[in-house]
Amino acid sequence: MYSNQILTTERVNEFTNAIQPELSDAQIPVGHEFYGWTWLDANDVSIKNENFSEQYIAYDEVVHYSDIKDHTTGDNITLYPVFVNENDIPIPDYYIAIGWYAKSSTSGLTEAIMTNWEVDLKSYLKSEGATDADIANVVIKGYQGDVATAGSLVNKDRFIDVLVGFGNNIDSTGGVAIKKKLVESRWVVNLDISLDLLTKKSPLRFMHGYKQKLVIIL
Amino acid sequence: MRRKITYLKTGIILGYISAFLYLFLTALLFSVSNYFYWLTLVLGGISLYNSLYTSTLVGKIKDGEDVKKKQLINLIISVVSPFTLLFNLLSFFHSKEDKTIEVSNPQYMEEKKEKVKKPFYKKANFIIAATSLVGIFAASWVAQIGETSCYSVSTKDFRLTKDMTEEFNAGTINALNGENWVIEDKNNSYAVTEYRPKTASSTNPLPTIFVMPGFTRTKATMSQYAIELSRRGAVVFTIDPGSQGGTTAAGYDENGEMISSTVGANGLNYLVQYVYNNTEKYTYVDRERFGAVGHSAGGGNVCNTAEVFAGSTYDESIIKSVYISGYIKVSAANRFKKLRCNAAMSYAYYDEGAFRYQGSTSAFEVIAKRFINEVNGQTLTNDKCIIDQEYGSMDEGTYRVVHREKVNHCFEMYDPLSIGNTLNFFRRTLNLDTSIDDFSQTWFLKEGFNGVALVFAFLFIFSLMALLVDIIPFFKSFRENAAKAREYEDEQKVIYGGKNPSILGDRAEGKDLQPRRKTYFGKVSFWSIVVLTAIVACLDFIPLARLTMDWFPDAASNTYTYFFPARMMNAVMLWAVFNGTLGLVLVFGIKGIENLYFKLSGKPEEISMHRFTGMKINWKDLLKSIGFAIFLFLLFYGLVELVNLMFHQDFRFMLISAAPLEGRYIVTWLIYLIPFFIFYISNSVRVNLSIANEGWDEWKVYLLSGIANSIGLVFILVVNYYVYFRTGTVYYGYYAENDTSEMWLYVNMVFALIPMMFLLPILNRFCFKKTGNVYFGAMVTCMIFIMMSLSASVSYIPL
Repeated sequence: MYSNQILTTERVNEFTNAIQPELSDAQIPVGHEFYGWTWLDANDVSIKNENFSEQYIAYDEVVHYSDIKDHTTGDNITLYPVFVNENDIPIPDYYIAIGWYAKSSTSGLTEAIMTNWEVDLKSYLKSEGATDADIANVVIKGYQGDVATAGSLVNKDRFIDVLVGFGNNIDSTGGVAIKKKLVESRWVVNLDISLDLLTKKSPLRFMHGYKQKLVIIL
Repeated sequence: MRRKITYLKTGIILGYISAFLYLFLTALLFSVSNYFYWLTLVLGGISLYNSLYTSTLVGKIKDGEDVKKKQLINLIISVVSPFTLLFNLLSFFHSKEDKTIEVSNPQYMEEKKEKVKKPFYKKANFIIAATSLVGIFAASWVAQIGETSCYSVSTKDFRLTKDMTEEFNAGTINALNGENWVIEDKNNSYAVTEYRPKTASSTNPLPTIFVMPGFTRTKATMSQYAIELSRRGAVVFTIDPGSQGGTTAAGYDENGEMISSTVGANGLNYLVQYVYNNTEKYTYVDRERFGAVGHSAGGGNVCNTAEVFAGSTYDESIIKSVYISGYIKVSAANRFKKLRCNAAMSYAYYDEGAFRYQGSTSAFEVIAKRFINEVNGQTLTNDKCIIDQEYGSMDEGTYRVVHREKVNHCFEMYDPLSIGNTLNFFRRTLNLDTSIDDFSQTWFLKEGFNGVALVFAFLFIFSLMALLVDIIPFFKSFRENAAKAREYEDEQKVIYGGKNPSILGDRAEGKDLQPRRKTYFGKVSFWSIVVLTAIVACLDFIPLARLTMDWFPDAASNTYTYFFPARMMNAVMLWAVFNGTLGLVLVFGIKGIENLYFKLSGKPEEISMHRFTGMKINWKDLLKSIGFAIFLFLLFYGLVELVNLMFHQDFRFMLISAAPLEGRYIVTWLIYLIPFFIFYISNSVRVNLSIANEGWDEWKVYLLSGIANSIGLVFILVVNYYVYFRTGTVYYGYYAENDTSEMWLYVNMVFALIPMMFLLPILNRFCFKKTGNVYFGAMVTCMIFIMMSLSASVSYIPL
C-alpha cells in the first residue's frame, strides 16, 4: 500500500457525482495495481483488513454520493489513490472462472450465446458431481477491446482459468501465460463442441488454480 | 358555558390541524421506509377522531347534559395533540357560568322583502359571463402582443405533408447525407408554427432556429423559446413531435409495417430539409445560420438532427448550433463525436430522471465529459467538465458549454435562467443581431395572459350555464329540481348546522326542524371516508400506472392502437376508474351501514336515503343534461378555436391547457369519456349528496371537497420530493427493485392534475346548485377536462 502526494478534492452531493481522476501509468508504482480511491489516508487501508472492500471506491469513473456520504465535509470529499502490491492481491477462489472474448466481430461470441452455454456448462458440471455451492461459484466473464487490452484485463483479474474465443495471439499480443491451447478450427461457432473440449479433453480441475490458462480458439 | 365551549372548539380545530400534521409526517416516514409511520398514522387517527368526539361533546354541553366523565376520557385521549389537550384542560376546569343579558326589541318585525325579478342583463351571472367573454378576448390579445413582441413578429401555423417533403427532397442536404427525408405515409403530417420577424427578407435573411418539445408535450409548451428567439431576430419553427399535439401518427410503410412515431427525429429532419431546400418560399432564412434546440426527448431529437445534417466539416454542417436540454442518454452521447457544429448541453440540477443515469458510462458527469471531449471527430483530454465553462472555438464550430440550472425536469423549459442560457448560446453562435439582454424576457406575458384567458373561459362557461338555466323556460325542470335539492340542504343546515329556520322561508312550515346533532358514528364514518379515499388515491396511482403497461401493452410500447391509445392518460384513467368506483361504494356503503346502525340503536326516525334524491332523474332531464353539456363543451372549444383564429392563442398555463381541437383527439376523447365519467359522477355524488349535506356553510363545502379530491395527489408529490431532496433519488423512480419500469414521468403528470382535481368538485357543486341533478356537472366537466388532458399528452391512435 502506498500513500503519495496524489490526492483530489471533489464536490459530491445528492445531485452531483464526481468523476474519478485518471492516473497515468507513471503515477502507479511499479509492481502495484491501482484499485480505486479512498477517503482514508491510503496508509490506513490494508488489503488484509477484512473491511477492505468498504474502505475504498473501486475505480469506476464515477464517485456517487451514496458511496461517500458519511465521509464528506459539506459537499466536498478528499480522495487518495489506493495502490496494492500485486503479490498481496488474493486470487478469488472460484470453482471455475471462464473468460470469453466479447468482441463479437472477432470471436463470434455474444451475450446470448454465452448465456446458453453457461446453462449447459452448469448442467454438465452438476452431472459430474458439482454441488450447488460449486455451481454458484462459477464465473463467466466477457473481455472487450483489442487483444492487448483484453489480455491485460485478464492478467489483472488473475482468477481466470479458461479463455474462450481468443485468437492464437492471446499469449504473444495479449501477454497471457498459456498452459495449453485447444484449437477448434470451425469458424462457425459451436459451443457444444467447445464444451466438449472443455469438459472431456481437458478436465477443468486440472486447470483450476494455475496461473496459466487453457485457451480455446474458435 | 360559552367560554367552556369556545375552549373546546379551539381544541377541535387544533386537533384537526394535529391530525393533518400527523398524516403529513406519516407520508414522510412512509416515503423513507421508516415503519414509525404506523405510529403516526394511528396518532393522526386518534387526533382526528378525538376532535370529532369533542364536537359531539360540545353539542351535549349545549343541551345541558353533564358530560364531566366523558370530558375526562376525552381529555386523556387528547394527550396525542398537546395543544388540543391544553384547551381541553382549560375547558375542563372552567367552571364560571355565563352571564346572560336578555335583549328584547318589541319594535322588531320581520319584514319579508318582496323579491323583485331582475332583467337578465342585471343578473350577476350575466355580468360575470359578459365580463369574462370580454376578458377572454382582451387577455388573448395581450397574449398575442406578447407572442409577437408587439407585432414585430408574425406567427403562422402550417402542416408539413408528404407532398411537401417530396417536392423539396432535392437539394443540398441530400447531397450531404444521402438520406431521403420524405414522409412515407400520405396520411402523416406534422403541425408546425413559424415565427417570422418582420425584419426578415430576402435581402436580410435571418438565422433560423428549430424548437422541439419533449415527450407528451406540444409545440405550444416551448413557445417561450420561440418568442424570445424571434424577438431577438431569429426565424423560429416549432413542431409537434410524432403522435403529439396536432401531428398525426407516422402511419405504415408500403409493406404495412408500422412506422415509429419518432421517425425522422420526431419529424424534425423532414422540417429542416423542407425549409432548407425550399428556396422559393423561405427566401428570408439564412441557410448558413441554422440552429436547433430541444428539451427532454426533444433534446435527443435535435442532437440526432445535428448529426444527420452534419456533413464532414463545420462549413458543411447544415445545423451550425445545437442546444440539447434535459437529455443525457448514452445514445445521444454516441453522436457527440459526429457533430460538426457548436453545441451546448443543459441538464436540470434537480432532474427527477437522473436516477436512471448513475452508471460509469451513463452518469451526467461522464456524459458531460464526453460532450466537451468528443468534438469534431476527435477525443480531447479534459479531465472533467466544469459547469458553465466555455470550451473550444465558436468560429471553428467546436464550442462547447454545459449548464445545470437549479430547476426540475418538467419546469426546466419555463426557467428564466435556462431560457437565458439558451438565448446566450444562440445569440453568440449564430450572431443574432440584437441588443436585448439574455435575461430580459417577456414570454411570461403570453403564458400569464393565456392563463388569465383560461380562468375567464371557465368563468364564462359556467356563469353562462347558470344564466341560461335561470332565464330559459326550457330549463324550468332544472330550476325546480335545484329548488328541491336546495330545500333539503337548507333543512340539513337548520337541523345540523344551527342555521336560522328563516332561511327556509315558507318551506319551514309543517316540518320537524328541531336542531339535532350528527351522531358520532355519522361523523366518524364521514371523516373516515375523506381520509381513506385520500390515502388510497395517494397509494394506488403508481401501481395502477404500472398496471397500464400490462393492460394496454400497445399504447405502453408506442404501438398504434384504437384500444386506449393515450399512453400516459391510461394511468390517470385507471386511477380515476378505481377511485371513482371506490368513492361510490363508500358513499352508498357507509350510508347503508349508518342506517343499519340507526335501526339497531332504536332510532328508526334517523334512517333515510333522502340525501340521494339528487340522483333521480327522468329521461327528459337526462337528455337535456346531455345536450346542454355538449353545447357548453362545444362553446368552450368554439371559443378556443375563435381565439386561435383571431389571436393565434389558446387557453393554457404551463402544463394545463385547452388547445384547438384536432380530429385525432376527438376520436381519442370518445374512447376515454365513458371510463372517466365514473370518476366524475362519483365526485359529483360525493360533493353534492354527501359533503353538501353535512349542514355546513357553502364555502366549507367548496373548500373541503376541493381539498378532499386533490390531497391524495398532493401527498404523492410530498412523498416523491421529500425522498428526492433527501437522497437525490425520487421515491417513484423505477417501479420496484426487480421491476425497472420507469414511473417518474407519471408523477410529472400529477402537477397538472392537482389544480384540475381541486377545481372539479367546485364546478360539480356549482352545476348541481343550478340543475338539481348530479349528472350534468359531471358530464360537462368530464367532457372539457378530458379533452384538455388528452390534447396535452400523447395518443398512439393510428390517425
